[in-house]
Amino acid sequence: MLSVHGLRAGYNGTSVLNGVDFDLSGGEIVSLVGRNGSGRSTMMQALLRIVKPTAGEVTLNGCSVANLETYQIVRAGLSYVPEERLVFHNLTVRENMTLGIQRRPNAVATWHPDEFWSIFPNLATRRDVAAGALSGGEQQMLTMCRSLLGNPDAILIDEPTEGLAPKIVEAVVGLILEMKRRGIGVVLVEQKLTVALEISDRVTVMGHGTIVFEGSPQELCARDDVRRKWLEV
Amino acid sequence: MEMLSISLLNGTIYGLLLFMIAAGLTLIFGMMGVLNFAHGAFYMLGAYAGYVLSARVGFFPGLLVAGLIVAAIGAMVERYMLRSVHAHGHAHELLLTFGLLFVFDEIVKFFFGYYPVSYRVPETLSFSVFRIGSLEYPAYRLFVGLVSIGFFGALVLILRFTRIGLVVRAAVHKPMMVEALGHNVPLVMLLVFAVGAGMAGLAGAVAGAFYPTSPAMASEIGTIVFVVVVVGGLGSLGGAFIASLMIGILTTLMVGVDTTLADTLSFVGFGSWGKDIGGIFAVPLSASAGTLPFALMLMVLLLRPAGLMGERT
Amino acid sequence: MTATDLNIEDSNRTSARKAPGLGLLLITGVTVLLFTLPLLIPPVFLNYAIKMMVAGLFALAFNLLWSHARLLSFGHAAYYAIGAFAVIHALSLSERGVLSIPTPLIPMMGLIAGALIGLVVGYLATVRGGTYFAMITLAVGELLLSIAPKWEAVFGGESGLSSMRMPWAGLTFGMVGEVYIVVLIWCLFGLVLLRWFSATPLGQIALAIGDNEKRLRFLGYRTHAVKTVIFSLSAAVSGLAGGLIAFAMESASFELFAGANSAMPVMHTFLGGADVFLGPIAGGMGLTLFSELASNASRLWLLYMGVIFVIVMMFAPEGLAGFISRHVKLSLTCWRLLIADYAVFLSGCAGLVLSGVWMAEVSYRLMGTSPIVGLTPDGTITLFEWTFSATSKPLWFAAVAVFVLSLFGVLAAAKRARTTWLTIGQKKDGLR
Repeated sequence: MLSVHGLRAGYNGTSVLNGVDFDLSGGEIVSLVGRNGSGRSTMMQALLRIVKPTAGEVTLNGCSVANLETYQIVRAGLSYVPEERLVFHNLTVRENMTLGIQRRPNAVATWHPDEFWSIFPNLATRRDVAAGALSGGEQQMLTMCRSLLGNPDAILIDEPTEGLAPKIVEAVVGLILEMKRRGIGVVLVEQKLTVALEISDRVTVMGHGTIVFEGSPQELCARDDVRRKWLEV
Repeated sequence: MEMLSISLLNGTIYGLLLFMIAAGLTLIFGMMGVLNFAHGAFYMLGAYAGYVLSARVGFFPGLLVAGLIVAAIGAMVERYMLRSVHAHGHAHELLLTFGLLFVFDEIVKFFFGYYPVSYRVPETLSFSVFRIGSLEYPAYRLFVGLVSIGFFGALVLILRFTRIGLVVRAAVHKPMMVEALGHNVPLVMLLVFAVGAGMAGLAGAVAGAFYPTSPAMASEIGTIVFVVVVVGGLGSLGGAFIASLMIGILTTLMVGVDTTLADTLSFVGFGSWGKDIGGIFAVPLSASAGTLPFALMLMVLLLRPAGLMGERT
Repeated sequence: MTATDLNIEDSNRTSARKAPGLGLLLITGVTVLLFTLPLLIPPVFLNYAIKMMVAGLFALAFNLLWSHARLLSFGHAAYYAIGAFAVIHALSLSERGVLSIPTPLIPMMGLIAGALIGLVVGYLATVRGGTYFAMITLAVGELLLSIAPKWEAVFGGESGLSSMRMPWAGLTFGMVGEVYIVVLIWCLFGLVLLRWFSATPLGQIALAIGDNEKRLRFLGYRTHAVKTVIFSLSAAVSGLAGGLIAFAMESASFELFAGANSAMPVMHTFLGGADVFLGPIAGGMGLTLFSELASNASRLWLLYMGVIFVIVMMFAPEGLAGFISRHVKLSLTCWRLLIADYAVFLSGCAGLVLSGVWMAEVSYRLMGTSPIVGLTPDGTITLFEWTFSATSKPLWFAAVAVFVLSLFGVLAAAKRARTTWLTIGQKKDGLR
């Protein structure tokens, strides 16, 4: 579904990604783990061409995205939930949701705002409140729901559980598993290794802008050397 | 009392006109992060376009076409100039618009000379609508006010109730995120720039028939509109509306006041001292109407840089 | 692109280290030439030279803020004008015998006045950065512009103030040559002051502010204080520049506060090249010379300058000096690859300028908007001793043809040159 080959990108002449090869199929959850600065967020932004890659090939459903603008890539079925929970503070919750809606006739899975209102009653009761007034956890839910309303085939989620209470982490995990169940490919950047290992089908370890290990959560658990070299602080 | 009510009415209408120009500027700033120095030039271009066209296609069609022409110019500036400079950073975008102001100024001087042109109110609107006491009120001023209110209303409706309005409201604060939700933000920016320029142009075409149309109008109105946008809060339409009215009314009222700073000082017994110093203390407040907006802007920038309604960043 | 830039920067540094002897020789030569100029050229041109040097110094002072702290000021006319008025007041005080300082030292008053007002405004303005800073400087400039004509006692109202240079130590300062030398010495002083400041630890911190202010603040530097100091220094040297003009003209009026004077250093700096130390000087001197010469020949000079500024901002945002210095560092092999395209490019530019200026000048006269230049009654124009009919079809056809062909040539050559640059960059990248 999503396939990346030799992706390079950086800022102001400093290279951050040094050739990444990566694949994702539908209904699969892949976690990107690694220390800060290993290039995980940059990779997500490079996939959407928010950061313009300097080299490499990215195909989505078999089509190259090289000549597309960010919004065209999103319309082609790749959604993105950024790390900073960028809700539109001045708009209401409902308006925030509406902004996410994109019609995609051939989408793997389709979502409707009403589903989210019933899954997250908190959002439903506050649907006419300015989104800036929501709590951090509610904002996280809102950004994820909003991106899902674009009916993506694959979704990139950056640090969804950062700074959230355990109970809300559970809800986030629940939503991610629901995405998987409906056949969406999920790429997850996750700081909490326990969460990543628990829900991922595959774990990809990044270091110095490349992929240094790839395997199942069990395989990663077995590899002390990889964990020591690339993950532990 | 008559003077006061006339001044208030004049000030309100001037404020509405300011808003019509400032609306585009503040939206453009919100979306692109660039304060467009050339925005005042769009107002001036509109006035000159209105002057040329009204003689050929009639006054009211002329206004409309003038607005459309300036909108087209705005679209070209965004698409072919600003966008290519974007990669070099905000400072260079600012400098580019700064250069454009200069160029538009000189182009107008090229075609129309340094002196005001005789762009006049049409016969159909040169009568007085009503009298307040002994003072007659010109219909054209009301027309200026009505056009401005019309555009204000249309803008509010579009922003509130259409999907593109929703996209614009979101993009004013986080354009990148809006694009990451699959909206064609570059196109929306182009549209906003064109509409903003067109509104400034139409305002120029409408106001140019009433106020003098000269090359100086670009930088004069440009700086006032800057003040409006800063005081209201960069990127905030509501703030720009309040600030427009505030500055419109304040400057119009000030013109009618003959008190000097020295007179004010005499309240506390320093009157003669103030008169001795002379200079700014002896100047009637009416003459410092031009100073007030900048003093206000400076205060806002230093005390509350986000403006009246702007988001803190 | 980025790879090339990095390479160029590297070679920049090494070459600067390699040949200090040559540079020193050049500086000495130029200085000697400048001091002997009054013997070489007629007084009219010395007046031009004074204006040029002052414009260069003013642009350099403006650029201190941009090149170090990345702050863009759009209100530098204020400090320029205040410096000018300080000098005029000092001159008239010494004329009345109240103040006894040697006449050649009076421009110092501009420096001091600029520094003081700069300290106050700088303290307030540098609280904010980016667009807000630009707006504050603009607001201060407009504020002073609106106050100045009304404050008769200080700024002389609408008509301005004037005074006389008093003789000192046998020098009358009645000759332009004497004034020129005073201005030259002060300009060199300003230049050295700014250059020296960049080398001080404070200058280095200011430079780092432009890169990443937040990081410096976290490291415990008081960045606001540093920015206030460089603002004050920038205003001081701007005040000196204004003071020198007032010293030379023996008069000053509120119009010195006008926006045009704030625009000049901006244009000079960015046309010249903001990131090369001498760029603003080159821009200021070059453009002032051109405007002195061209404003006599053409009423459209400001239009040309605006168009050039916009074009440079769009296509060579590093300015002309930056553009040139990038090319000077190229190796001979690279030059061989580029030379043909560059020849086409340059001749295309020449064609564009010639045909563009011709069309602009002729249509300006045809428009008849200017009260000064126009057509002769029989519809002819004389440009550079060449008399022709303004509506001659063959001439217009030729001009349009040259313009279109040149434009095409320039675009094609630029595209090819860019591809060559990219390949050069990639080769170097591969080697590393």
